[in-house]
Formats: sequence, C-alpha cells, structure tokens
Amino acid sequence: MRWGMVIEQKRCIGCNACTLACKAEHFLPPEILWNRVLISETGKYPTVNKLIYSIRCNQCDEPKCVDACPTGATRKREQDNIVIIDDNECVGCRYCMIACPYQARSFYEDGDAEYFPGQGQTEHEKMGKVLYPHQVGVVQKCIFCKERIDDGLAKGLKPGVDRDATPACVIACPTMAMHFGDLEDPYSDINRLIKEKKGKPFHPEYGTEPSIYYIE
Amino acid sequence: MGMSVKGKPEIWDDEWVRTTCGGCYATCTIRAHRVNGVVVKIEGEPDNDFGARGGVCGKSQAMIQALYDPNRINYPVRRTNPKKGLFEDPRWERISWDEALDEIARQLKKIREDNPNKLMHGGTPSPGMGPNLPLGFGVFGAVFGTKNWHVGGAGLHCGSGSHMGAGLYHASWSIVPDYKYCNYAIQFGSNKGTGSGHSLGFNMRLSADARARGMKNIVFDPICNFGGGKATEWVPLLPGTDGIIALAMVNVLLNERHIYDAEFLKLKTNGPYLIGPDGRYVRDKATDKPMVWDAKEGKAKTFNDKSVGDFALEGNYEVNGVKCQPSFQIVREHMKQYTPEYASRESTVPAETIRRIANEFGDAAMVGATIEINGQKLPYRPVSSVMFRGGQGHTNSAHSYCALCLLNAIVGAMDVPGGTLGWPPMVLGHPDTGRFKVIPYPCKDGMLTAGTFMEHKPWPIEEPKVPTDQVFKELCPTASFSPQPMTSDFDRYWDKLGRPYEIEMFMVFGSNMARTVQNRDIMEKFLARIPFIVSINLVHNEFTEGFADIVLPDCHPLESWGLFSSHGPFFNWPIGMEGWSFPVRQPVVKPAYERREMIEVLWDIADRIGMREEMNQYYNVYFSSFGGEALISGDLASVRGVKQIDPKKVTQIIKPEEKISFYEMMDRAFKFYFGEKNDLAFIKKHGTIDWPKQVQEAYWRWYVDVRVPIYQEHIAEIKPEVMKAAEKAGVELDWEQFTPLLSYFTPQVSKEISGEFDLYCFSYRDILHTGTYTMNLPWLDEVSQRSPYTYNITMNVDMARKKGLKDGDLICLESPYGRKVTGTLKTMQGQHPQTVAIAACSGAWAKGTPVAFGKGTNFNILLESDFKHACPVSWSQETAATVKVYKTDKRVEFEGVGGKAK
Repeated sequence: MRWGMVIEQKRCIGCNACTLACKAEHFLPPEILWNRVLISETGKYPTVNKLIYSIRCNQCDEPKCVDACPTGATRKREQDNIVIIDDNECVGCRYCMIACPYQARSFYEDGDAEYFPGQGQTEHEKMGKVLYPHQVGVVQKCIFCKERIDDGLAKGLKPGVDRDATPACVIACPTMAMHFGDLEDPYSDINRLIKEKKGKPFHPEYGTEPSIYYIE
Repeated sequence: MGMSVKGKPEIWDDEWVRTTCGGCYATCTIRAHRVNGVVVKIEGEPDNDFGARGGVCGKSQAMIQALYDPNRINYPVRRTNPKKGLFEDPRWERISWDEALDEIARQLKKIREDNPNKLMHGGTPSPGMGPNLPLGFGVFGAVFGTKNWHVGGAGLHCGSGSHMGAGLYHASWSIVPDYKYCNYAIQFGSNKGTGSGHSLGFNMRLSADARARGMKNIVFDPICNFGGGKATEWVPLLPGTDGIIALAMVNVLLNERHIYDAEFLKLKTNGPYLIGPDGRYVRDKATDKPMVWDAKEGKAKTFNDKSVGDFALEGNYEVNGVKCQPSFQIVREHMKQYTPEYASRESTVPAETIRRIANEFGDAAMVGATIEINGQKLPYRPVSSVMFRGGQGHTNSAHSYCALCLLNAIVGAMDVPGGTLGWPPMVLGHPDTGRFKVIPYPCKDGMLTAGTFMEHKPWPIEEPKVPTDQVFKELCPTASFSPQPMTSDFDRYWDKLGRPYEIEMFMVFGSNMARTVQNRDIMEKFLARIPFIVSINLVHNEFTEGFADIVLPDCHPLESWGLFSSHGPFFNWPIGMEGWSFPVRQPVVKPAYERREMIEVLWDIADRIGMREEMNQYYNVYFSSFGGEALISGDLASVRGVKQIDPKKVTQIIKPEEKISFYEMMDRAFKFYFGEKNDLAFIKKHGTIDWPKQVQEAYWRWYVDVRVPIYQEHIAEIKPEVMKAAEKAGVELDWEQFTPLLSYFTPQVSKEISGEFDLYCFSYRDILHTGTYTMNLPWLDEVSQRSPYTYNITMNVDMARKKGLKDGDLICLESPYGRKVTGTLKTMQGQHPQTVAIAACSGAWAKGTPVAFGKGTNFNILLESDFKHACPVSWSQETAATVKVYKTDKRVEFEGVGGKAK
C-alpha cells in the first residue's frame, strides 16, 4: 500500500481551504503550515496564466529527508509509505529541512507562541494542546493525516472514499480538486487519473518520486 | 471522533452540530465539531446542496478563531470620550445591559414621538454576524417608522446596478450561469465561484465541475487573479467599460449575424411593444395596456390579448393615429452605433476579440435547441453572461448591468437550462404543506415581478418624490442602495430642502462603515455630528472606536440561532436542479460572557418603547409572505408597505401581546412552513429541511407569463418626475442616462484621467477576505502574508518599470482630489497596464483588530462620495479612482492613528 494524492489544477482556485483544514485538524502552532498554496503567474501580458499549486509533504518514495536524518527519526512507514517523524528520536538538528527540496518541513521552536500575540492563548489553542500536542524543539510536517487513516481503517473505512478516513485537506476542498487513494492499487481512482490525464509531480526533476501528482 | 487526535485525552463531549456558516453572505451549510465544550473544526455539510457538499472555504474554517478572538466584545460598553473622529480613543467603560438598553430606549422613545426618521438604522449581515438582518433590524426599523435605512458599504461593496438589474430581469438578487448545462460563460468583473461571497460554496463546487466538463469561461477583468486566473480566456479591459463590450456583442449578434431568439423576444420581453415618437408605449385607450402589432391579422392589439397570432418585432405602424414601431426594432437600430471598433477604443480590448467572442457566444447559444429534463421539454441555451461588483461599480452601473442582461435576453438564455439563472425566485412550496411558496408574477404591463418582498422589486414603479428620507431613495425609484447622506454633497441638498430634520440616532448592526464606505473623511464628518450611535458588533472596529456611543456584544454565528439563511430563496439559494434545503443556524456553543442574541435585544428594546405588539404583527406578515394564501401572489409590494396589507390575509403565528423567545418564534415558523413534525427540534438534528426541486421551479421562465424590458420604457416614464423632484432638492444627475435605450456612458473614473493622473485604481475581492473583519483572524492573516498579492498594491510590470518602480517599493497613490493611500508594490504580468489594484478592505487602524492593524491598504480612502460619482439610475458609487503613482517614504494614511491629532 502506498497512499498518494492527485490534484486537479483546473478545479483548484487557490482558496487555501486545504491550508486551513490542515491548520485546524492538527492545531498547528502559529506560523507553522504543513499545507500551503503557491500562487504565481506565467506568460506575458496579455497572455497570462495563473499558476496555483496546493502543496504539502510529497511523501516521497526516495525521500531526501530520510537520507539526511542522523537519528532515524524521519522514516517511511512500512505499511503505507507515509514519511513520519518520531518526536522522541528527533533531535532538532534540522538537516532534513535543508535536504527537503520542497520546503515542506517546519521547526517548532516556541511552545508559548500565541495566535493573538500578547493576548493569551484562546480556549481553542488550549484545547489543541490537549487533543493534538506538538513537541517543542522538533521538526514537523504533513503526515497525510495518518491518524485519520489509521482510525478509519480500524473502523473498516476506506481512505479516499470515506470522509472520516481521508486527509482533512482532501475533504475540505470546495472544488473537489483533491483525490486520495492507493498508488499501488492499479485500479484506484488516482491511478486512473494519473494515467488518463498524464499526472506529474511538482518538480519531478528533484528525483524524489513524490506521491502527489498534479493533473490539468 | 472524525478528527486527528494524539494520545488518549479525556473526552466528555464530542458532537458535530449542523448549522450555517457566518463567514460571509453565502451562509453555506456546515458541520461544526465541538469537543469538551470547545469548537475545534468546521467542515462543509456533505448531505445537502446548500454549499460545497462537504467542502468548505478557508474563511469558514477560520470562524473558530473569530469565535475565540480575545478582542471580542463581551459586555455592553459606553464611550466616555465625548470627542468622535476616525482616530479618537473611545475610552470604553463597561455598563450593564439594563443601563445600556434603558438609555437606548429613552432616546428611541423621544425620537419616535417626535419624528421616527430621525433614527437611521442599518448594517450588514456579514462577516461573522448572523443572517437575521431582515428579521431583526429590517423589521425593527420598518415598525419604528423610519425611512432611513442605510446598509454598510451602501453603494460601494454592494451591487446597486446588479441588484436592480437582477430584480428587473430575474426577480432575484443576483445571477449565476447554469453551470451544470452552460457551455460558454462570459464573466464581467466578478469572481463567481472563485471568491465572491454570493453563493460561494455551491458556486465554487459547480463552477469547478463546469471547468472540468470543458465549459468555456471568458473573463473580462482588468486583473488576472481569482476570476481571470481560472478563465479559459482572460480579457483585460479598462475599468467601467464592460457595458460597451456587452452592447457591441449585442450589435454583432443582431446586426451582423442576425442571431436572436425571436420566440423569447416576442413572448418574454417587451420587444413587440409599440413605441411612439415620444419614446413611450402606445397604449390602448380603453385599458391603458401597451399595444403590440399582430402580424397575422395586421392590426394592433393589447400585449396580453390571447388572440395575437404573431407578435411583430419589426415594421413601422400607425396605431390610434400615432406612428410607432416595436421596441425590438428601435433597440436593434440603436445598437448599430456600438461597433466592436468603438468598444475597442473605450475598453482597449481588440475589436476582433470582441467580435470573435460575440460570434462564439451566438453560436454556442444554439437558438431553437431544446432539452428534456425529468420529462419536461425546455429551451436549451447553454450560454450565459454575468456581472457583479467590479463590472457594475461605476457611474454607468445600471446601463452596464442591463446591457449584459440584454445579451442574455436576445438569445433567450434566461432561467432556462444552460443560460443565466437568478437565485431561485420560484418555490412551489414544501410538499407537505404547500407553504414556503414564492411565485413571480406579471405586474404592470406584464412585467416580471418577484413574488415576495425584496429590496429590488421594480414594479409597480414608485412615484418619484421630493425626498423626505435622508437616503434620497424616494427621489429615484430605480435607485438601489444609496450612498446618501454620507456624501460631500448631501448638505447642499438638505439645505435647499430647508433641513426638515437631522439624524439624532444611528443604530447599526455589524458592519464597519468607517472602513468599508467610500471615503472615510466624508464619512467622519457625517458620523461625528450624530449625537447618539449604537452598534451591535463582535469586535471593536474603526466605526465603533471612532463614533459609537454604546456598543452591545453580539453573538458569533457559532453561538447564534438563525431562521433564515439570508433573506429567502432569491438570495443565495442553490440554482438549477440543486435541491431545496431550508437551513437552520444553531449555537454550537452557548454565548459566553454577556453576549446576547441580537433579535432578542431588539425585542427588549421594543418592550421598553411599547413596540413589541407591532413587531409581532409585522413578523406575522413577514412569515405569511412566504406562505399565507394571498400574499404570495404579489400584493405585498414591499415589506415596508406592511400597513396596507389586509389583516385577513395574514396568518397569526405570534399573538400581538405575546412575548416569546427567538427559539419559540423559530419553532412556530418551521411548523407553519413545513408542518408539525418538522419543528425546530427536528431541524436542529438534521440541519436542513430538504425536498427535491421541480423542473418548473429550477427553470421557471416559460412556466410563468411574465416579460422583461429590453426597452426600459419605465425610465422614460419616471424621468420628468425625477427631474422635477430633483430640482426642488437642487440635485443634478446625469439626465442623459435616463434613457429607455441601453447605452454606454463614459464612467466618471475615465473622465478624470488627465495628465499625470493617468492610472485607474480599483479594488478586488480576495477569496480569503470579506468585509473588514477576516483580516483580524490569524490563520487568514498568515496565509495572506504568504500571498504575493493580498497585502500589496499590484501593477502591470511594464508600467511599473516605465514609472521607475519595482517590487517592494513603498508607493503612494494620489487622486486628483488629493486623497492618498500608500502600500508596497508587487508587479504582475496579469494586469491591465493602465491600472493599479488593491485587495478590498485592508489597511486596518482600529485598536480592536490588532492582528489586522497596518496590513495592506485601505482602497476606499481614494474614492469620492457624491452624486457626481454615482450612477444616476441605480446610485451605485464609482468604485474606481483615477490616480497618479509615485514612490514615497511614509504611510500617510496612518498619521494621527492612536488618538493623536490628525
């Protein structure tokens, strides 16, 4: 099993619903984003195209971060290829941040940071520390909502089909631009889309074999 | 739990609550997740069409931070600084609810006994605030008896021309392409499905489906961002020239290609109505009905004479001794002047592009084609042209908007599959009860009219009057939201009228008029002299800090009840065959501190001034208008005409003397609409009352015997009376625009382009922001800071180079009136070289929104506010400014912030 994602750029409007869903799902601390949307343009006036890329950790098959990690904290999960970081083993050296060509990783430094600076942590931030505590001094990034996948599978749900077993960014997308499934299943929807619409990873030239593909 | 959790925290409360979002006007259905008493997640509701079917936008998700914003107002407060002004420190002092309401009631009582018009009331149902604007403030003000209703950002953020036009042509508040069937959509200055707050959820979903299906989407817009960025073809144009492009397309279709839907024009428009040399209808002497020419019998008949064999659209006739011709022929002739070459000179869009798009539109319209849906055969017109804020935000607003409606009308692409749809104006009622029913009907001269109250109900045309209201809507019946009296010319007119009274009190629900209204300096002068201002709000903003005397703490949508999603089906409800869903808003958490439900606060005030009985009566009319037997057929001309309603036609849902809670009122309303079993307890659990839409509701146009005006005879009719009344007030409007023939008028912004003032500056809607409040939400702020555009001023890269400017420069934009704003430059390829653009509503300076403070640029400062800068027909404000641009080293608009002298 290898979880993967396909993003339809014709549908994506760059609304950042995915970014915000990820923020909420994991109670991400201030200034930390596991999911981002890159916006730019190509062409010359008046023939211009807007470029929009919803990005997050690519869960690469040849992850440079794993190679760079001196402690083995960053590794691929055997069962499904998700690249995880073990908080207990991460020493915060941040080599992985330099190694990742997609800048998908963040270092969590200030455990007291407030969303409303100087105004105290809100009830919501405090609840986040109960439901999804983040360890200070370690690197973090998108983990394909592994808790949702694991809990969902345990309940007999299918990731990519059942909302509760699918990453938060995917189900939040209001244009239904994001698809999730098993890259090793030749009959999965995402494999069909990649094949039919000639899906390509973001910057394939980095050679890390990402699990996220973009189609027109 | 349906959410990521780490470890094994103790969970004693884990609920998903179905409700509606309060992030913008769209009020999409959502599910909010509450854990241990705290809202932790918001997701789109997957089980109905009132939204993105499980998807949700970023603003909606950030509403959690709005709910828990430490800047929320928690207690009633009173201003202790007697000085009012943009940068004054209010020096709030906490007071009790009783103290606040007693003081408000004392003032209101005095005013009501004296002259109710001395109360101005208004607000905006967004952002963050409840959708109960009509049920609360609308009803309160109408019952109180004031004519002075002022909407936040009136004439500016709202679509005066588009609401007027959508009312006229679709009996609705706005229009949307029928994404499911449309193959070719033209969008003028709007972000439908890519940012606009209107019907955001389902528009995002449906427009994405349409793009994936291969719908062509042509976007005319000076900037290639949210709308243009998703277009199959982005066509840059100068601001305010959308109308002439639409007119040129009409010309190409009528006079070059001879493509038009004759059947639609004959039966669904006033195209066959005969027009005399005076520009007016030739009317039947006995019945006063407009006449048409029956080409079959070769004689004139009244328009709705059942014996008409063939409505003539062409020819010259003589009826009752008057030479006349069908209006269609006059319109077609009139269009000849709008050549693509002329449109090109005004807009800078190449003539061949305009001609090609017109041809593509005409061909894609498939005039004559039909489609079968659920066994019903209907005209199939898979083309649509739409417009909203940007395209119609100029002094030619009404003509521009109606011009694109004309483009739809000539090919019959109105409320039929594939065409342009209004938000649904026709509901045949819930299957169990037949209630919640609205049916458009033919009013004066057979013209389409909404079947229930709505602000932009064109017929019957009200008589122009010398204004006794300060918003001056009495003067011009076609005016939509009015900028008056927050203008630089109001005093001149009011003086001429002998200053009949002054506004002594202003009650405002939500909104932030110091930042969202054109020109804060003009606004300041107006507000600073109102003795008593009450605001009900979530946080302190530029308006409350600068001008409010008492501020009451409202509930956030996640703490509130809400009966209507906005105003009714004609506002924001899903289009086409998307199902009916009547949503409820319910508290996900109890209101904290002393925050209170706005409607119940207004009832408390009504009790104190002896007005509750009248309000109860009014609610009965209001609810009955969606279900009481006679009212649905249209004799409720406007919600303000309530006193003329025959009481026998009103169902008594609340007894006059009763003092019920909002919860109780909602329960009764639901039972009245949907039957005993569909009470509030039921709807709380399910979130919506759902039932399938019928084809004749979705595509109602050919099921109701109504017509729309391709020739705006009513404008010719009202012109002399408006002129007469205006003269008494000393009001000068551009009278040339009072013509029945849709035309192009150079927008004021273009007239002011001269010498060094060589650029057009406009604002646009960023998808993460609405109103002014969203910029204080840290999640949205973090993302906005990472956007190359949101907090910057954008310009075409070549133009910037020509001016010696580069990315990151601090620049100043200065208008010919000496208004200045500053900000950081970001250059773009995708922007018309003669324009400068700013994301709307940024540039905060209030203490109550510290996250937003100083970020971005407040575009509205650049705008003028007067009749010279208003569309004379719809009263939309000119929302583009002429500017010169240069490098600077200080942010002038923040001088004086912090209570220092300006």
